Amino acid sequence: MNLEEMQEVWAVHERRLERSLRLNHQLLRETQLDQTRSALRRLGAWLGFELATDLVVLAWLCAFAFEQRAQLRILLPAACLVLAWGCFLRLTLRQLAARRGIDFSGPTLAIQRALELLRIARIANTRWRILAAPILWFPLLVVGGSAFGHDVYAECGAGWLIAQALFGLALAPALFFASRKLAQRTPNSPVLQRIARDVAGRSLETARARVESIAAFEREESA
Amino acid sequence: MKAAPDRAELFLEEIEAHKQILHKVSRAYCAGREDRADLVQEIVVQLWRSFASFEGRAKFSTWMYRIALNVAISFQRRNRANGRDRAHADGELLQYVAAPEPEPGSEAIDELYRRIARFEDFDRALILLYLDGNPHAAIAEVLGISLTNVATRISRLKERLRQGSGGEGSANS
Repeated sequence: MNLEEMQEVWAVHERRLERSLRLNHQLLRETQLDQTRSALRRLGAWLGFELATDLVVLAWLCAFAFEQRAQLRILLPAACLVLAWGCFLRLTLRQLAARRGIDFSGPTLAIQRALELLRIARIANTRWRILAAPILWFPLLVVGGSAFGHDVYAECGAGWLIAQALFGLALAPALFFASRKLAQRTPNSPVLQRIARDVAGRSLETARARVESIAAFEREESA
Repeated sequence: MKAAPDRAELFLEEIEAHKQILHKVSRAYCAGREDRADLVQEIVVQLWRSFASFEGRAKFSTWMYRIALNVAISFQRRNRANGRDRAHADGELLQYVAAPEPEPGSEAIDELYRRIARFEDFDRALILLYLDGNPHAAIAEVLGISLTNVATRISRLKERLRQGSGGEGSANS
């Protein structure tokens, strides 16, 4: 079937549709369309919550680090956490920036690219938060203990603390490799599969390939 | 004096006038009847949400095509990423557009949609707009590409179809 033949069939299709297609007005009126939540709206609400949480944690960490400025052994883990939460905040802001201005009535390619960039920002956020969690375990232990009035160094002993730090450092690469394995397997849980793909970087590769295919479509090429 | 129709009535009138777009786009991007109904629902919801900002600068059909294609492409990607047909989250299927009954000779139309479905997302959008009789300028406006690009891609699609390799891969290759 060439394009001209397709056009002929399309014309027949058009005429039949005109006669047979019915729109359910009643259903449309009765449905409270305004109340339907879209994925983008839910994401917006979630990002707002994430931003507020990140800001509160960061502000608290900064104040805590300032209080502990005389004690280097507390200040250093607190500074690590400040740095990490600064990065998390940046990841959230990147998602908010990517989400802003997505209007489905925009040109198809531009909107699809914007959606893909948002997906890339979301994947990066999930990936780095999960991979950073075990590394931050040790500073969290010290800062958390200190905030509740415990001297973790004195109470737990050097051996136990070193073991915790090493465990955290070893867990991050282990998590990465486990995600790569899990991402290849048949999904029993789509959510788990998605997270594994995000952490392993597979989703990122797919999203980047998609951005590239959009750019290729936009490029003008001579026939 | 006749009262001016409210926003919802105006919306319904416009949708009524262009309901074929809903059917064509959903059929081009979804094979299953239930998925099509879900997609139509998502498109209508997005149209209604965006209707407040519709200022009439573009033709309604152009605006509607943009939204319908954006929702359809995203819907299809989501389904593909899930690796399965989308589950009905609310367990309710809203049939906004009653599908036409199959008529004699509809095999050719089925075959036409099968051909369209072989194209990749953006080529599929392009061919749908072309078959629907949209001028190159309108296609360029909906997709957000240049007129030259539209012309180039259409001639390439024609060539691919003539060679009998239509659909597999993109018109890029």
